[in-house]
Amino acid sequence: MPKFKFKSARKNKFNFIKDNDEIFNSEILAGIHTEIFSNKKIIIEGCQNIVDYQNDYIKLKVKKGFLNILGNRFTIMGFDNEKIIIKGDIVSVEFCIG
Amino acid sequence: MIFMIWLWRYALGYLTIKIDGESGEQILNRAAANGISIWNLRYKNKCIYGNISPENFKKLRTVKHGIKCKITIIKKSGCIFKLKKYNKRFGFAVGIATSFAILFFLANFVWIINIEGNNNISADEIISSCKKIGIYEGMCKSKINNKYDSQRLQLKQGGIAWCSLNLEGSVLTVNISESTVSDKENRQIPSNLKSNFAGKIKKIDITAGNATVKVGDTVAKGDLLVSGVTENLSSTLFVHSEGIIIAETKRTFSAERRFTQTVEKETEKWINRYTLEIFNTKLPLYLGNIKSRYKYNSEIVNLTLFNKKIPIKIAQEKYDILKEKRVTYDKSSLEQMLYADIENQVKNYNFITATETNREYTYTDIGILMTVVYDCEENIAVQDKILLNTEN
Repeated sequence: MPKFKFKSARKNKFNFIKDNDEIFNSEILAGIHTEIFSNKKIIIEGCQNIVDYQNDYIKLKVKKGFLNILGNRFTIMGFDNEKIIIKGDIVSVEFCIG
Repeated sequence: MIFMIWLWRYALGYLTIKIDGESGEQILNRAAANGISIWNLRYKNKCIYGNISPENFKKLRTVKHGIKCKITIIKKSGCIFKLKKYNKRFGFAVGIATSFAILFFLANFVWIINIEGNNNISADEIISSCKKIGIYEGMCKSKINNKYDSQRLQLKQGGIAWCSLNLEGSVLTVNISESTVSDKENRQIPSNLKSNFAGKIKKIDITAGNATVKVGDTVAKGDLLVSGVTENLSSTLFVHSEGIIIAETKRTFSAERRFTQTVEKETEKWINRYTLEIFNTKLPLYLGNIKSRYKYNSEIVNLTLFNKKIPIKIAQEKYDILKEKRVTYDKSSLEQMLYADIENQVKNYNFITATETNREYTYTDIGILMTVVYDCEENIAVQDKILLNTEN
């Protein structure tokens, strides 16, 4: 006689994790974390180096690549513990990851 | 948070530096790697400008080795650098030390007394009671004993059921809870009702005690009307007599005025004088006396700082200058004035009815004396305590 199995309601709860496993993807979590406030401020966590710094262009070395920020009047508000805060008129943010 | 960081950096001082060279970015990378914080970095004229703390600047110099660029200090900002100018000025240091010493010294005193929880008793009344028990603005904080002084205040100031003295910094808050007023105690005192004026009794309405008079009786001032002593076969009972005894009385009122009187009239002149009051010490901000006659009016303003009272009061004293003027009245106007005076006298008594029966004028060379006789109906009963346990 086949064993009767109750369909547990608890198991269904964890389907949420299954469906959205991208969120917990280690690759995503391991990358840089970027926050952009309008086009005036950008916070980047995971910045290893400043490669180039000019008034209208900043090139940052991040994990597995580079990040180019184009704009005007860039001011680095702070840079420590791989976290950099940049203020200015941001025109574009370009990921060069390969 | 950002303001606090700015304040902290400003207090400790910071340097504005200029990183001149092609590899300025490398300096920034080395600084970040070594935990050297540089903020407000900006690129200008092929140079990088930024702010750094003096300690980190020393570290940055050691870290810089091998990088071809020049770091120069552009500007020194912050409290420390501003105070450095005065490090050779002895008076400046003494001034700061003195101000702190004064601050700590003044913090030992009660600056303000606030009263909370009072509805019927005025705050001034409670403050004056506090003063009587030795609590006043300007006293030493250490002398306050909450438990002991709150009990003393309750004894000194009637109508307080509970009170507590709370000291917060230099502000003493007196929290009180008023007791509900009851005349229960008075009702327990045995008493008689006596007559306060001679008259003929018209109505008796007694709620406690034994009446010793009847309607139609004539009584003199001080006669016993209601007795608070009730004698039974076996014992004597003392009660608090209560009631109303209405009697017909004859009252005479008189008033006198002169034909020529000196009247004080207000002029449009006034003098304002100010007095500064610090910790109950009054400092007059004026010189000299006012020699002419005046009407005095004062207003006290308690100064506040950030919506908090401070122990500095300014009293504005307004002296309205009066001018004496001699006025001569004729006979009829003086009679009217006298009658008004007498009517005012009658109003002060709580008569049930008052009917004028006779009016007499006595004319002299200098004025008139007016006498008016009234037939009145009034309550003549007054309480008179029965003295028990007296040594006599």
